[in-house]
Amino acid sequence: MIIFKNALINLLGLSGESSDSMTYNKLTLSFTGYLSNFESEFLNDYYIKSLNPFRFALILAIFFYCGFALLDASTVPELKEIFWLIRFAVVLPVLLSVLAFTYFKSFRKYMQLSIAGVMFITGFGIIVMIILGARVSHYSYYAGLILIFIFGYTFAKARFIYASLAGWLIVIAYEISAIWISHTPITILINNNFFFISSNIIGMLAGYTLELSSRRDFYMRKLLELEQDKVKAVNSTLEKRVIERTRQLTNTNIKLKKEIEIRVRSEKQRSELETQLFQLKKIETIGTLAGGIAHDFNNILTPIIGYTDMALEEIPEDSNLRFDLEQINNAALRGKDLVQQILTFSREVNMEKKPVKIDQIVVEVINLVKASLPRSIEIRKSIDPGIGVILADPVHIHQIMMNLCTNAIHAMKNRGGVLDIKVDSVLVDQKTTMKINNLKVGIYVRIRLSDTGHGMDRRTKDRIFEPFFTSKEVGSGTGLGLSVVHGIVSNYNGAITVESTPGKGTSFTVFLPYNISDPVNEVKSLDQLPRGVEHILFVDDELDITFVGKKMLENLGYTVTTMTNSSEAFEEFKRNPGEYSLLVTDQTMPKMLGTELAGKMREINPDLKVIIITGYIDKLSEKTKSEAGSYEMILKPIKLSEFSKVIRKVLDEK
Amino acid sequence: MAKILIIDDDPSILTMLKRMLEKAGYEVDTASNGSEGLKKIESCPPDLLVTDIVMPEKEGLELICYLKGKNPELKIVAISGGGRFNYEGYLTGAKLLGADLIFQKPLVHKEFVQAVSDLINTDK
Repeated sequence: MIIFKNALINLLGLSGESSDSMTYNKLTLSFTGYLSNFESEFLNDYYIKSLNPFRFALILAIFFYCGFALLDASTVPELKEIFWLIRFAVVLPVLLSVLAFTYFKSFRKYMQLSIAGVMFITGFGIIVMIILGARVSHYSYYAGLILIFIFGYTFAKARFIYASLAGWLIVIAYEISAIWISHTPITILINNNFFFISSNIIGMLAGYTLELSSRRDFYMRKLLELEQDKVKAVNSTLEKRVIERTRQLTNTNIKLKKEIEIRVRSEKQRSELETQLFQLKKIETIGTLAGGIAHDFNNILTPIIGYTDMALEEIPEDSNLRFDLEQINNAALRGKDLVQQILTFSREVNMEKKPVKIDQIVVEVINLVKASLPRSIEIRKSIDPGIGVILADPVHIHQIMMNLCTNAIHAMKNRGGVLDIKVDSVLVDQKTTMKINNLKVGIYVRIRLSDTGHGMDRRTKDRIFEPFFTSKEVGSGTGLGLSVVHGIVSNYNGAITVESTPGKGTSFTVFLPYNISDPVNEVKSLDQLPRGVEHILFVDDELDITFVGKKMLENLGYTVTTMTNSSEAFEEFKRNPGEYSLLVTDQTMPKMLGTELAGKMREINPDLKVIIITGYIDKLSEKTKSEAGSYEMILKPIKLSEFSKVIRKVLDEK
Repeated sequence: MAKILIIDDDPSILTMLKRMLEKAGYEVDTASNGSEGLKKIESCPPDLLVTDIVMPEKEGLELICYLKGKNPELKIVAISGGGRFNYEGYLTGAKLLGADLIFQKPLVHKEFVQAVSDLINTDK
């Protein structure tokens, strides 16, 4: 039995892996199991594919059914009228109306039934003709039924189950009419049945195979579609991943570029700082060395000066040796002065600190220098009011100013030019201290001297604070001037920087710290600035700056709340939006930019006054710039006089 | 005649100062370090002591401290070319420890002799 089944399956071409996994009802051929969901889709698909072949089959059937009328006339002339009646009055109208019906929408639902009906009616027509023919001993019409089977099972595209039903109905109808109505002779009956049944069975097998292969095609197509969908899904996932990955890569690339930029910048900064540090160390080392040499040198000078002094006392006034001895003595005394100078920058100076009005000394020095100034050189000065006092030795400040002025004038001796002297007070933050060695965050007096002299190259610039280094011709200077200035400034915990372009000029900047812990000094330095009593929210990510800023603003009379974290600042503001009259914030902060913070706060309180502190206006993005347009901006380093004025101006605005 | 003892490790300075002060009319003895100087002071006390500070074997500051503790009446002049690392510290220190006069080397001859003579003539 199993062997037979397998043989049949092989015979019908149903073997193979794919059809094995196709589940269907062996009788009706409907999909079962997991495929049952596809049954209606298959039927629909089958309908669309069958519609035209069925119409063609119908037309062919009409053609043959009518064409055989000629046969009627020649083989059974006596019955031709009644046969023609069957053909043209019964079957033909049915076929034509079914053909018309195929053009209606509802045909979709009744197609299989219609095919089966057509098959049965045409078959039944033939049966009637066979029965009638038998009366005149004409038995050849049974072949017509075979044609019907061929049509029904194949061309007409009937589904197996419907075609079989129609086929067997025809056979049964024949049996009934042959046996009971026309009493067909037994040999003829047997003969016809042989043909009918066998052709019906063959038709069934053909129909079965055809429908199964249609279903298999459908199933394979479905599988293919599924696979294609999978591939498409995988493709689209892949594409998405590629896009995502590309985006990530692009971002990483941008980040990397930024990082490289930052690295390069910080590397440059580092190497500059290193150079500065190296210079400082060098100066310090030379200082220590000079201190040691000074001791021995003084011991050497002592007998030289002593003996020449004694010799000069004893020698007659008119001796030729007197001149020579005086020369020795003078040279030794010059040596003594030199040692004193060397020591100025190397020793820990015992400073007599007292409140010094920097602006006053600057003006004094300018007046002093002006007296001997060539006409080709002009001095311009701009001194901020409210510089106040710092604790220092006035002699030292004098020395610094004299030295820097003399150098500047020397640099412009031949060509003339302008010496620009600016004095102001600035708040130095961490970003500035990063660029200047030895400087701490705080408030400083800043003295800037810019000349339009010959300038200097980098090598010279790097060494100018070294003792004995001079760019002047031999005899013009000892090369100690700037090293002394450096020594003094360092002793005050200040800093001195130099910028120079060969041919364009040089500018020195001196930072001298205010002694902020000295209340008298503080008040004096700030009492000329505009004051107020409003509550200010001060936000900066640098803790040091918030300390200094708070102290400074409080000294001007304001109430100050400081924050180092922009988000926390915003939370604080949300809690007490009416509390603050003014927001002073740094622009560059992690988490939130100053302008963003201000924007969010203004949403809560549109009347909030805002001052943004920024390092470089140029560096702001266009978007930030337009945002910042509605805020007051202050450039770093913050100048106290400007800062206090802007605060007042912003607060007084309506 | 007033008696002066000079202590300095530099022989040329020692000879020079000896001659300078002898010329001014004082009786001068010398020692080339603190220990030697101390022995001489103990065996034959001077009216005035001129001492260097940076010396081997009992340096000046220690000597001044010791002598002033023992005899505050002793007049002491400290001289120095400056410290190797702390230039002004030694002389300031000497002053704090009781030196009556301090002089930075190189000495200005006339000033020095005048100051020494003034010091000898003051009564303690």
